[in-house]
Amino acid sequence: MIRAYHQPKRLDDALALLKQGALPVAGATGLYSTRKKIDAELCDITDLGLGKIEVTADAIHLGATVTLTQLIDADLPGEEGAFLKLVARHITARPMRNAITIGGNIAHAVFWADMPVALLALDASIEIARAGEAAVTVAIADALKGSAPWGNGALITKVVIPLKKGRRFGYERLSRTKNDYAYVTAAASMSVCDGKASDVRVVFGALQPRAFRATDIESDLEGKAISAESIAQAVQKAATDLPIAPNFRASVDYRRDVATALARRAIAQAAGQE
Amino acid sequence: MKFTTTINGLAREIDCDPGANLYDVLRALGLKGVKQGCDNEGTCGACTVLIDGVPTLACITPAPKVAGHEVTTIEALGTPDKPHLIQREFVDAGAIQCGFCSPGMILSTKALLDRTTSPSQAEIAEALSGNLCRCTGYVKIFDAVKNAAAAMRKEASDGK
Ligand SMILES: Cc1cc2nc3c(=O)[nH]c(=O)nc-3n(C[C@H](O)[C@H](O)[C@H](O)COP(=O)(O)OP(=O)(O)OC[C@H]3O[C@@H](n4cnc5c(N)ncnc54)[C@H](O)[C@@H]3O)c2cc1C
Ligand code: FES
Ligand code: FES
Repeated sequence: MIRAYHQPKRLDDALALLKQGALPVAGATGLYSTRKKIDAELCDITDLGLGKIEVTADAIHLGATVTLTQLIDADLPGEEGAFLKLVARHITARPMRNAITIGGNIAHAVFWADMPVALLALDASIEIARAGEAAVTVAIADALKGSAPWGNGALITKVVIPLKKGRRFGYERLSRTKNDYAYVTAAASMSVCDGKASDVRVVFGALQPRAFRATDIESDLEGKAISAESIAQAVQKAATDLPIAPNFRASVDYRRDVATALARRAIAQAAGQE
Repeated sequence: MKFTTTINGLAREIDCDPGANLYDVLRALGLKGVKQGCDNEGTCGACTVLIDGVPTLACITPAPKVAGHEVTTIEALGTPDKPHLIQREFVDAGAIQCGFCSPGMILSTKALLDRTTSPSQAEIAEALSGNLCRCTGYVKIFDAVKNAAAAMRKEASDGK
C-alpha cells in the first residue's frame, strides 16, 4: 500500500523524507505499473528543479528528472547529443516518453533499460545526493557494478555526459515491435584517427541484469586499424564467452547470435563504416 | 489525501487514497471516456488524457501529480450533437470502429494539432505511437488526422 504521497519543493526536504524511508517517484512509469506491490511512502521528486538541461563547453548536464521527450526536443550539441536523442526515441512511445525520466531509467534497473547502455558508451557519470552529506559523483560503469549507489535514501540528482571531440557512436537494438523491450541491445563508441580506433567502448544491454562493457572486444580493437574484418574478428572471438543470463524472452543461443550481429553493426556505425 | 486540480475547465477538490492513480480518480468522477485497454501498465494508450496539454497515460500517473494542473479528458471536446472538429473527422473518415481507442487517439491528435496544423506523416506517427487500435488498421486514423489538420487550416484562413 502507498501510505503517503509527498510532493516536496526543495531537495533537502526530499532527501530528509528519503532518509526516513520514503521511496522516490519520478515519471512513475516503472513504479505504477506494479503499484499494488508497493508498501511505502512515496516522495515525488519532479518539483525539485531537477528537470533542467545545461550545456557547458565540455559536458551536457541532465537533471535527474529530465524526461525523454525533453531530450528529444532539446537542442543538444555534438555526436553525444545526437546519440542521446536517438536512444531516447527507441524507448517506448510518446506519452510514456513524456513521463519517463533519465534518473528513473537508470534507477529502475530493469535488464532491458536502454539509457544505461547508452550512458556506458558515453562515459557518463551520475551525481548522488543523500541527506546531510556532500553530493558524490560516480562513473556510470562503477554505478552499474555491484550494489547500486542509489536507493536507501540516496537520490540520483544529475547525469553528466562529457563532450569529446571526434567520438562517434553506434546503437543497435532488437525487439519484437518498435515499442517493445529489447531482446538485446548493443552500443559502441570510438574515435578514429588515421584509420586507427581509440577510446573504444562496446556495451551490451539485456544480456545480464545490468548493462555492461565488453572489455575483451574493446581491447582487441583499441589502437588498431579498424575494418569490417577486424570488427568481425574481435566480436567473434568474444562471442562464446559473452555472459548471457537466461530469461523468459528468448533462448541464450538465440540472444548470443543476435548480440554478435548487433555488436558488429554498432561498432561499424561508430567506426563510420556504415 | 486532498488536493485541488482543474478538470475539463472546472476547479475540483479531490479526496483520494494517496496511492490512487489518475485513471481511478477520473472514472470515479464519472468520466468514463477514460478507458483501460491493458493491465494498467502503460502499453495501450486507451487511458490517455492531457495534463497541461501534454498526452499522459492516466493509469500510470499518480493522481496527486495533477494537483495545481489542468486535466483534459475526451468529455471536454464535443457532444454527440456538436462533436469537436477532430471527432467529426474521425467519424467521417471511418476511423472509429469499436471506439475503444478513440478517446485516446483523439486526445493525442488534439495535442499534435494544437502544436501544428501541418503535421508530417512522421509527426503523426510519433504523436499516435502510444495509442493501440485493434480494429481499424490505422490507415483511416491517419486519414482522419490529416483531414482534421486540413479543416483546421481552412478554419484559420477563413477566419482571417
Ligand atoms: C510498457 C513499458 C515499456 C517500456 N519499455 C522500455 C524500453 O524498451 N527501454 C527502456 O529503457 N525503458 C522502457 N520502459 C521504461 C522503464 O521500464 C521504466 O518504467 C522507466 O525507466 C522508469 O522511469 P520513471 O522516471 O518513470 O521512474 P519511476 O517509475 O518514477 O521510478 C522507477 C524506480 O526508480 C527509482 N527512482 C526514480 N528516480 C530516481 C532518482 N532520481 N534517484 C534514485 N532513484 C530513483 C524509483 O524509486 C523507482 O524504484 C518501459 C516502461 C513501460 C511501462
Ligand atoms: S490502460 Fe493501457 S496504457 Fe493505461
Ligand atoms: S476502433 Fe476499436 S480499438 Fe480502435
